[in-house]
Amino acid sequence: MRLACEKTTALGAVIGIGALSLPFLLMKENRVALGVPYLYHALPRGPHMLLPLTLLLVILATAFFPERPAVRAAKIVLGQLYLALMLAALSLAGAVLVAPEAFGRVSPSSGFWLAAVAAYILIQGSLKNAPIGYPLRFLIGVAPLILVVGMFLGGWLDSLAVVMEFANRQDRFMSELATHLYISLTAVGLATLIGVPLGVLAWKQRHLEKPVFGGVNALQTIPSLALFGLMIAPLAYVSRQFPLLRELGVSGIGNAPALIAITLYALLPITRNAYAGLAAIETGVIDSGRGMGMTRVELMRYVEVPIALPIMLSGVRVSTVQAIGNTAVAALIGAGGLGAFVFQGLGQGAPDLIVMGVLPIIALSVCIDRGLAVLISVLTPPGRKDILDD
Amino acid sequence: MIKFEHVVKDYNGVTAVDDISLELPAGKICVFIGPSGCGKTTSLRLINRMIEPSSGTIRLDGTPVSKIKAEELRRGIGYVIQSVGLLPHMSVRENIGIVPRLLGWDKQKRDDRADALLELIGLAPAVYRDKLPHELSGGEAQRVGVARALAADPPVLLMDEPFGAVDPLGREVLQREFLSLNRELKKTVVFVTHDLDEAIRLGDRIVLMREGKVVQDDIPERILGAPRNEFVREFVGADRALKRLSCFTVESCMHHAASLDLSALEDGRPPEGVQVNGTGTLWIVDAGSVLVGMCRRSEGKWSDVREVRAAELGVNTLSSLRDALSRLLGRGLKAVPVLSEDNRLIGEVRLTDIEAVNQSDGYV
Repeated sequence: MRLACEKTTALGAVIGIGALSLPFLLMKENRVALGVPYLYHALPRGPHMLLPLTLLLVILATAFFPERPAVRAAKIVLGQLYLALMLAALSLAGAVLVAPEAFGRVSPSSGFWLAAVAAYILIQGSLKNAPIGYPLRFLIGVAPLILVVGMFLGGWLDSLAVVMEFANRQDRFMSELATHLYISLTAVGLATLIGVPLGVLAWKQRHLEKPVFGGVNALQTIPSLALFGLMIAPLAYVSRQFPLLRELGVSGIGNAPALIAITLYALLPITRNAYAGLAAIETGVIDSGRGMGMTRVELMRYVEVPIALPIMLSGVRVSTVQAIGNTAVAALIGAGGLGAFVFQGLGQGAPDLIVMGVLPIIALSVCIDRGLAVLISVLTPPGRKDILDD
Repeated sequence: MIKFEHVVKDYNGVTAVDDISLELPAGKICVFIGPSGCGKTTSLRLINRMIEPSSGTIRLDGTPVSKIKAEELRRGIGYVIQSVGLLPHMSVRENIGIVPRLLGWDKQKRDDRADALLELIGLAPAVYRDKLPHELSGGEAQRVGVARALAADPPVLLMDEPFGAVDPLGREVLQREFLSLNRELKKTVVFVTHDLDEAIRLGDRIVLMREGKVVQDDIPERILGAPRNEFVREFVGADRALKRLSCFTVESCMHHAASLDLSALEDGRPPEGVQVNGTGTLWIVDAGSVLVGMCRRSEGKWSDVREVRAAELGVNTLSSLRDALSRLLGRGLKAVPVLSEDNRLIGEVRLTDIEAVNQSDGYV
C-alpha cells in the first residue's frame, strides 16, 4: 500500500525538525558585540526540546492522513501552536540570558529564522485549498502577526536586541513610520490619479497605446537608485529658480524627489491594469448593454465597473506593495521613512537596527497587500472570481 | 409595423445607407441580406437608434423613432447580436432580467419571468438559471440571448447575425426553434444575415441590399424564382432552383399514398388486383398504420417487399421540398413517404410534384 503524502506540510515539518539543530539565538553583551550562539537544547529556560520535536512529528504524521476536515483543522491549529512555542522559547530564554548583563541582549539566530520559515510553510500549507471563506482565512493568515505584536506590547520580547533598538528610538519610529506611509500612499494616490486616466486614454485612443506604455515601461526599467539620483539635479535647479516652491519644501533631496520617483514607478501596474480592466469588457457586452437601453450611468454601474474595477484595483495593490519597498530606498536621498533605520544600522554596523527597520516594512507590505486582496475579492462579482489570483 | 422613409446614413462622405424606403409588416420575420458592407447591419441599428440617420425618418407604428428617447425606445425593442454579449459577471437569470430591471420590475417578477423564458427556449430553469455565461455552450448562450431579448415582451426583435457564431448543425437547430417560437409569439422580427439558406429558411420577407440600396424586397420564393437583375441572380447562385425548393413545405404538394396492410400480404407479395398509382410504389404498413416496408410494381410484376426504417426514409409535413428531393435522389425512388410524428403514413411526395413546383409560375 502506498501512503499519500501532502508535500507542503511534510516539507514544513522536516524544515522545522532541522531548525532545532541550528543555533537558536545569539547572546550579545552590547549592540555591536559579536554574539554567543545557543542551540535550542542548551537554552537556559523555555519549553523542553522534546515538546517542539513531538509537535513537529505529529504535524509530519498529519501530512500522511487523508484530507478530512478534522485533519485540516489540526494542521491549522498545530502550525500556529508551533510558532507560538518558538516565540515562547525565544522570550523565556532571552529574559534569563540578559538579566545579569547591563547592556546584554539576544538576537534570533538561524535556528529561529528557519523555524519561522517552517511555521510560515505550515500555516500557508494548511490554508491551501482549504474550503474557508475570506474573513476567517484572513484571520488565520494574520494570527502570527497578532501574536508577535501582542507579545511585543506585553513586554515579552524586551530582551530582544531589535526591541531594545526600538525602545531607544520610539518617538522617531512613529514619525518615520508616518513618513513612510505618507510617501508611499501619496505616491500611489498620485499614480492612480495619473495612471487610470492614462490607461483609459490608451484604451480609447488606440494610437496612443504604444507611446503611453512605452513611456511607463521605460520608467520601470530605470533602477530606483538611479531615478532618485536623476531627480536631484533638476529639482535643485527648480527649487533655486522658484522660491515659492522652495517654501513648499521642494528641493533636490528629501520628500519631493522621492514622491516623484515613487509615483513614476507606481504608474506601470496601475496604467496597465486600468487598460486591462477595460480590455476585459468585450465589445459585444457594451453593444448589447446599450442595445437593451442602458443609459451611460447604467452602463457604468451594471457593466463597466463590475468588470473593470477589480482588475484596476489589482494594479493599485501591486503598486502599493512596490511603493512601500521603494520608499525604503528613498531614505538614501533624505526622504526619511523606515529605510532611514536600515541605512543607519548599516552605517553603525548594528544588524539589529537594520532588522528593526526591515520588519515593519515587511509587516506593512503584508498587511496592505492582504487588506487590498480582501477589498478586491469583495468587489469582484461572483461570475468573475476566476480573475482573482489568490 | 416599421417604416423606413427615404433613410440615408453617411459616414464622412461614405454612404452606408442610401435613400431606403421600406415597410416591414408586423408579426413577420423580415431578413436583411447582402454582401458585407451593403448596409444591412446599419439599417438594423438605425431602427433602435444605435445609429442616427443623416436624413429620413424611421417610424415605429407611425411614431418617428427620433421622437422617442433612445433608452426608452431600446427597452421596448429586443436586441440580439452575434457575440450575444451576456454580462459575464451575472447569472443566466440576472442576464435575462436586465431589461425588466431597467424598467423597474421587482426581483420576484423578474425571476419568475426569467424562469418562464428559460422554459420557453427549452433550457430547464432549475439547471440553467444560476449558471454563469462562461458555463454555457455557444448554442445555449445564444438561446439565453434570445430569451433576454424577449424578457420585457417587446413587440419588435432586432437580430444581427444571431446564429452566425454557432456551428452549422447547432445553427439549424436554433433556426428551427426560433421559427416555431415566433410562430407562437408573432413578434415583428428584423433579422440580418449573410447566409442565404438562413434567410430562406426564416424569412417571410427578404430584403436584398447592395451598396446601401435595396435591390429586391420580396418573398423568398420570388427572390429565388424571379431575380430582378443580374446581381440578384448571381447572389442567389446557380443552385437557386434547389434553394427555392427550401421555400416550399411537403404539405403544399402532398398526395394520397397507396398502402397495404401487412396482414394482406400473400407469400410475401401483395395479392393481385391491388391498385397502385403512377409511381408504382406501394407502402406496407402495420396494424397501427406505421410504415414498415415497401414494394414496387413495374412491367406488371411486383418486386419483393423490402423492409424500411420509417424514420430514415420518410419526411414530415413541415420538411422542405429540398429535403424530400434529396431523399428521392439518394434512394433512387419515385416517391417518398410523408409520415406523422409517430411514423404513421399520411401521404407521399412524388418526383413529378417537385418538378411541377420547380416550373411553377414566378420561375424565369
